[in-house]
Amino acid sequence: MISSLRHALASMPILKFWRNLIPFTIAISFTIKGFSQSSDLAKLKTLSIEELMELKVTSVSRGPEKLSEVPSAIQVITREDIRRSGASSIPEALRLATNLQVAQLNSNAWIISARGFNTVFANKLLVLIDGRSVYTPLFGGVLWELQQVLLEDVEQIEVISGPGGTMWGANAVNGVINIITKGAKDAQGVYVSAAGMPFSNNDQVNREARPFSSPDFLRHSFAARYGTKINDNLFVKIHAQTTRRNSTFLNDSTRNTDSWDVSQVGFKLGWYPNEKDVIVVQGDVLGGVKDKNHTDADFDAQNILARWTRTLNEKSEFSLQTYYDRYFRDDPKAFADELWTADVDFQYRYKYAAGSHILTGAGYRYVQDHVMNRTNIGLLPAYRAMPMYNAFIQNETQISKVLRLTIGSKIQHNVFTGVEFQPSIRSTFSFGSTNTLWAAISEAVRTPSRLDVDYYLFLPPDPTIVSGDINNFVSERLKAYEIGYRTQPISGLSISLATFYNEYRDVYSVETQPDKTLKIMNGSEAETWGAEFSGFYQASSSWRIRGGFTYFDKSLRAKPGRDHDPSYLMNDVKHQCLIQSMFNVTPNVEFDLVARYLDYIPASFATSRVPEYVTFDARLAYRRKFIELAVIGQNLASERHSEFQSGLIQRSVYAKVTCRF
Amino acid sequence: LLLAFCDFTVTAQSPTDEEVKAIYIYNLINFVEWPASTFKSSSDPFIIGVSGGDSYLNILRELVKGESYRNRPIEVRKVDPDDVINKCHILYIEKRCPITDRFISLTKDKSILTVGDHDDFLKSGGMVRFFLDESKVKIEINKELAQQRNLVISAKLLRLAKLYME
Repeated sequence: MISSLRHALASMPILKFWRNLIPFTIAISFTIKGFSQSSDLAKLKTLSIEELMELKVTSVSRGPEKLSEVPSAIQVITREDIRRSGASSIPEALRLATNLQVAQLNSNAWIISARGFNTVFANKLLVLIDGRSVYTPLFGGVLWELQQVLLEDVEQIEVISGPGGTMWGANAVNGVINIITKGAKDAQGVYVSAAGMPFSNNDQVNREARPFSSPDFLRHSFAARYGTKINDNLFVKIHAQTTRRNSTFLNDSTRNTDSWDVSQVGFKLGWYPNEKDVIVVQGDVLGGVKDKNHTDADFDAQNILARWTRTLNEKSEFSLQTYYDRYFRDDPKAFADELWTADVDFQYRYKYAAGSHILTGAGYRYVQDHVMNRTNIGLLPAYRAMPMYNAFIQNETQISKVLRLTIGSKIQHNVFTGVEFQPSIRSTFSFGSTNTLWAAISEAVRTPSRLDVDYYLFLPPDPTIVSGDINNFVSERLKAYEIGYRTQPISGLSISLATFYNEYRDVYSVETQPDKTLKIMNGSEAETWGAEFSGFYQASSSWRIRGGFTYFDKSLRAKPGRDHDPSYLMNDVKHQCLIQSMFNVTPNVEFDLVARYLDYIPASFATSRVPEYVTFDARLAYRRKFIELAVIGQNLASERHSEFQSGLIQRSVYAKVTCRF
Repeated sequence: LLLAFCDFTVTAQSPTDEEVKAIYIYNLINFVEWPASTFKSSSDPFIIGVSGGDSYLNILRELVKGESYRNRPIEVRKVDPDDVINKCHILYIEKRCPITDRFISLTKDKSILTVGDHDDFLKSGGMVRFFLDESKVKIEINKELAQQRNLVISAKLLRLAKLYME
């Protein structure tokens, strides 16, 4: 299996190309390194402070600034947090943000939501990977199995709960996940890792249901990255990874048939041609196979992105970004879909006073899909083009030393509901050196997806039983009120509290019509409220702790006069809690724990009750020079537990060897 | 292609802001006095911690090669695993750093000179901030905070820098 994969990868033209290029680029970097920078530096070193202050420089360290004073509920997961958690995928890493509810449905599917509406078709979250939107207009949610990122190269994951529609656009109703990977300049050198369960006696295919559990969810995972400097202005990195995950369990303790594997190759290039411009080009291709009830379900995806940032002067800069993205998923027994996205975005930023700036932009996205309906459930028409365009403006003003005000709106046009506005007003009040109090009122919309308007369930010879209604379905709307506080009360401790009250109108519903058929409408409404607490504490020089607690509650109902039960739309836990401990036993030995608690999920007419659970992951690692050896256990508290519906996720153990040169 | 080549020769002449900021950091060693208690033994090195991209790390390592601080070797370390923070004398936090708050809170009550280049760096509790003014790198200092942490900044540097007022 492994060798066949390797074979398949080796025969890919892109790898052949890089294999030939690598010795060449190494040769270049060796000849350039050494003289150019150090001779300049030696000269600069002799300058006095006065001379330094008069020296004109080329600005290369641009890019986004950190978000500590952003008036929103943000939790940041760093590369170090991910490494020490033992997470082996993006969804596992996202468990570290307690303003998200993460449920693993089976081996290859996750349900991730913020501030409620956790369902298989969770559709109120915007997810961006390096500026590329990855939620699918098919159902408004994210196909997590298609989102493969080399975790070693993640710079940070920002998880913003609460509406971000003004800046980010439709679908950023309940939150935005921003996954940012390192630039080619900061991912230089060689990284190689191998992980897996070497003593597993399980066959790779797991076609037969086995009544016993072996702790081998991660069968194997191999990854490699090489980053190099081609010249002083041009940096490039390439990576490849392949992972196989075994099947999970069904509630009768037999194996599910959901094992899968996925392989990916990608590149990133950073070019600094002169003092004004930065150009980033990146892309990747991936392919894999899921076992779905003894049938191979193939999937593949490709994307390429280019971003040009130009600094016009000290006060203003613009960026122009474009990408192309395609994916294809095939479930031979149910449904296949293929989706193409082409996107272009322009942003301009003008700083008109200290702490005050205007950010404005416009974008166009063309999405087209093709679905193949293989059963009596599907989408019609089979093809649909969904062009979208938008413009936004946001003004941030420093009103006084302590008060900052941000006002803005996005105007967006989509093919289903036409023009939508998403305004927001946010204020930040900073006092002391490290206290920030913020408040916000915003409106956001969740524009219709294919699943809302083009869905049908058909049982011949009857007429259609359930169907979407493209002429009448409108966007779901949210009005959100938020207040938050961030502080650093004592040395080593930083804490944050965000509270919210949300009003949802025109929420999705399925309602019986006079002719006894069912129609998809906007007949539900809801209010939600809650609090998200998160913190970080450096207890000693060798021990740090981070974690959080989230409380969430809701009132969800049919609109007055309507008769249906929408409870299955919100399978949310009332309380959840996570603590991550990172302890350096000696300078070379790390011992880490992540414990989490999730409250029960009540049953609805369409979903079953999920009991509350507590579980923990542990990691023991030895690091010396370029090598890191680790043993990682996941979901250790019980042999199996359920996170959504009736699937069971097993205890899992794997070993990992990592080399960095 | 020719155009790109011309640009390359131009940039090679004017230093980057990263290089100049690194030189500033290196020079700070001579303009600031650390309390003797920050060194445990007479052989302890002087430590510059860097959070952020590798490019600062590489430039600083190049700069301190063969240099010493009062007969102590100078070391440049990446502060990713947080255990080195306590031992740092200078901590440089790049503006792209996602966890500036954490770093700042870790240096509370300690004689660590915190240096950064984010617009709000001093506001969020840092001591020395770089900013660009007409393409020149200038510095701003929170003198009171440095005094509170027993760091003595030379009068010459304070005269040349912009002073931060809360």
